[in-house]
Amino acid sequence: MSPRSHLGYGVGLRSPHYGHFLNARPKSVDWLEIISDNYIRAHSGYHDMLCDLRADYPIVMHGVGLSIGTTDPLDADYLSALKALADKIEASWVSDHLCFTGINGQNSHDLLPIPYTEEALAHIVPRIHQVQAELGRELVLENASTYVEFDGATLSEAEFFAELHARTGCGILLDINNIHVSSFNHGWEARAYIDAVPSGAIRQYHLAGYTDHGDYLFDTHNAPVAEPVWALYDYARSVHGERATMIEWDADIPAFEVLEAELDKVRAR
Amino acid sequence: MRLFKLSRGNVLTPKRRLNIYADGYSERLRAAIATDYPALLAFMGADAFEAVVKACVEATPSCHWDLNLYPIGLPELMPPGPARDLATLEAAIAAVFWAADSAPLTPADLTGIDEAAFAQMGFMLRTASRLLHFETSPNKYLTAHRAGDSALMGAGPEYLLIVRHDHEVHRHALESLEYDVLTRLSQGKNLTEAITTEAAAERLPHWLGRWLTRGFFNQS
Repeated sequence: MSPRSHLGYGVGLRSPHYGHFLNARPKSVDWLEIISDNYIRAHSGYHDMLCDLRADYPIVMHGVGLSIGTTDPLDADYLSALKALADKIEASWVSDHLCFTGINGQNSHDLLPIPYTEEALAHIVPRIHQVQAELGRELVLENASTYVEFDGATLSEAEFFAELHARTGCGILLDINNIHVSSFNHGWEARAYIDAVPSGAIRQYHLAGYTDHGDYLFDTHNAPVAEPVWALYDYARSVHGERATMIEWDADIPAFEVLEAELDKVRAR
Repeated sequence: MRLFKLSRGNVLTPKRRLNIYADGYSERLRAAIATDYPALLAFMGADAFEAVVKACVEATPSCHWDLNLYPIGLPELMPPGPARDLATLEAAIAAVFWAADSAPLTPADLTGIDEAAFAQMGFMLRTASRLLHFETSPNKYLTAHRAGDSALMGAGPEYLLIVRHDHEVHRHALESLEYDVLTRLSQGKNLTEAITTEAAAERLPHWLGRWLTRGFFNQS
């Protein structure tokens, strides 16, 4: 399957729903996204489960531990394990975030923002090439929700993504919720961001819920998709067209039927 | 270059913005520990448990991308005693769950081996296993806790093998002699060297059946 294929509408595979997927194989879900980091070190029982599910669902691998932006060397063991699992389950594509997660060997387990400068581009571009060479496939990078920006940045986040794509061929996972969250937190125009992203690079859309703290929005993935995010999703599709779209729900995970209802909303738009 | 700018329309100070990340870091590590130590939380009570967790988070940065590994170091930061024993048991369960796979030695693997060769064989414990000895009784406490029963930490000793077999983590209570034999085997001694008493030799056939059917040893 081409990584550019529109897989349809998917959800994140999370442990409370393992039994339902294994037993019922719901047809309301076109494809599954897994958090790569939860499986690459897991015992073979989990890998067997993924191979089993792969017979009925394309699987996309989505990571949080690559740390493409850190100044530490790339973790060879992590990359090797990522490739092994991607090959084993025939992942449709492999994604992570444009961020750094730690420095000097210490890990924040967070998606920390990077400065959007030429210097950062010069640092990250060869690292993406290295990852793509190690994985033997395109790397897809997602925009993270951010709460700080760097004074001295010379590019917008969308321009930075466009440059990364132009220089490496990497794909973009456009998280619509994160665009809304970051635009609120920093006071920039979400639609202008979407306009600036190169259509040909977009592989996938993410949709999720956030928590409104009044003076800032926090990316929590613990709620239904909010109305402003639906509106932004409609706008992104009007500009860039349909792409594989999935509902992310990672905390306070609801019954499967609630996710199904969110997928129905996606399909109805 | 100044690090953080105040964006247009922005009402959050840079300090508050940074604290979103700082608070998130502490909370993620705290949540990871709480997930792995539910019985310890019940045993210590919320306030004492949170104090131990806070001390751990402040003293120990996370140095691996896999957050599942972070909580396993908690017992080392606790003083000796029943709480530490319970933490050690729950840490072992988590460590065994995340340990690498290995194929189990089965009765079929021993077919055709004569008695003399068998006596010289070494048996290495499964990669996903931990051999434990406590002077208290954390395993009894954990069993009661998981059953929803009120539990008290009694006197020990307890001897245990925690092993992952058929994709599940099992807690096997051991006899003290059996623990001694398994300890010697895990140190690389062969079966003859590991069996040092008549009593152990008499118990060996019984133990061996359980060891092999419940996946105590690596195949190679």
